[in-house]
Amino acid sequence: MKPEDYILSGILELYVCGALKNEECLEVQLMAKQHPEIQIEIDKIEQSLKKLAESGQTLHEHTFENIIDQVNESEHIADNNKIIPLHPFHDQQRRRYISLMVAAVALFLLASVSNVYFFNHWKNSEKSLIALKVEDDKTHKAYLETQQKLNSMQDELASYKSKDLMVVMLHPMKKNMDYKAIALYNPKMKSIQLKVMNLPTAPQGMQYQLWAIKDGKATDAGMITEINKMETMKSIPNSDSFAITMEKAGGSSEPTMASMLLMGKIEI
Amino acid sequence: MYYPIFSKYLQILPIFASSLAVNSQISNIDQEEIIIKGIREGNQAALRLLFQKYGKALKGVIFRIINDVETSEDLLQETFVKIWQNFDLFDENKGKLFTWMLNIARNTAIDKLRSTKFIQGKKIQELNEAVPKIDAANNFEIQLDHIGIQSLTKVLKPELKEVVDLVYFLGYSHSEAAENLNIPLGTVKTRIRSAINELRKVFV
Repeated sequence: MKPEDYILSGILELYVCGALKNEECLEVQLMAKQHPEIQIEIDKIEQSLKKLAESGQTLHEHTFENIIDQVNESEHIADNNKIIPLHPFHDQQRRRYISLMVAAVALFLLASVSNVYFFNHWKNSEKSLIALKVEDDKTHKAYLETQQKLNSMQDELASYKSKDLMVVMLHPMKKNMDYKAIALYNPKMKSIQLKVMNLPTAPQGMQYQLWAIKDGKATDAGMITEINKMETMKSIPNSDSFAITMEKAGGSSEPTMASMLLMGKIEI
Repeated sequence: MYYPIFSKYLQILPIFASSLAVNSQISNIDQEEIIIKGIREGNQAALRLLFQKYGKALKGVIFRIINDVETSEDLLQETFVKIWQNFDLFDENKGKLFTWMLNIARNTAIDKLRSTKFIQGKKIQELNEAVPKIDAANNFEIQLDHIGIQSLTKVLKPELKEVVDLVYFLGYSHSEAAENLNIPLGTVKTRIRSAINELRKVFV
């Protein structure tokens, strides 16, 4: 349709009055964009209709003031309903700082409390560890002693069991004396075990001494330190017999024959 | 750096310039664009310009529906408050600003006409429907023809006048008007075209 015909059709008047459907409005708008004369005509129609409505009307000064009052009042109510914080950003930031601070303090307190707890715990552990160590030392000592005893007993037992072992009874030199001694001699091992029984304790400054005698020659076989106990004496390779004398403490290099108390001969 | 207060003053400038130039060379369309932009930005000065430009016409439309000076004044205020509050609904791609405001004014007046309070107050017992039908010819004449407008509408032949009344003042659609007047759609078009042409001769 030509723009002139379109103008004459009356559709533009209906458009300005708002009497057209949406799709018809779009068509008018498209035409108006393509043809400036149509846009001009639309504006003219609007002016005419405006003047028609305006005829006989007057506006009061206060009318607009009333409108503004109503607008402001409704916006004031709307604003009140919103409740905008005065310094939203500032408050938010401060709130964040406070929460961070609370978290930091809480963390610090937690760390302090656990420090104290763990320190106490550690101290207690230290104490019990020391106690355990002492206990352990004692046990270890006892164990070592037991072990030693066991070893010596095993040795003794072994020496008893040995085929080469010879039992030598030492008899008192004087009659009617009930003291005696037993020597367990192992020539292969050169070992002597000696147990003296019922012998009175040596006087102060004196000690009993064992001698090994081979072909009439006496050799020091060690000092007797205890009565009624099996003692290991010095190593002796060859011996015919054994004798016990009383000597001055620490022993002598030659036996004092006069003080000979016990003697026993190895019997093969 | 962004200064919101400074930019607020900048927004007012074109409105101020345009208010000085209401009757000057600035074209209607440019002025309208500035007003639309101003109202969208919440500028009350722009609303004042809009009121100065269209207030009288909208009051006339309301008056022709409601036929009461005092009520028209109240409804005009109500209409502008609605325009301000619902301005985000206005889409210039769907129609003219004048047409959009015309609809608000007509609907505000017709709603008032519908309200029982108003009907009782006016004691219009025959008014069963919100929009008076054209066949209730007598009532309609009384409502639309009154002081001031008579001189203008007198220039129109009755068949032209009734089309203007229905389509322009009462907001009937093209097809509703045709149905009501019992005339073809094309005739509605040609009659409204003739009516506006006649009026133009008087106005210019």
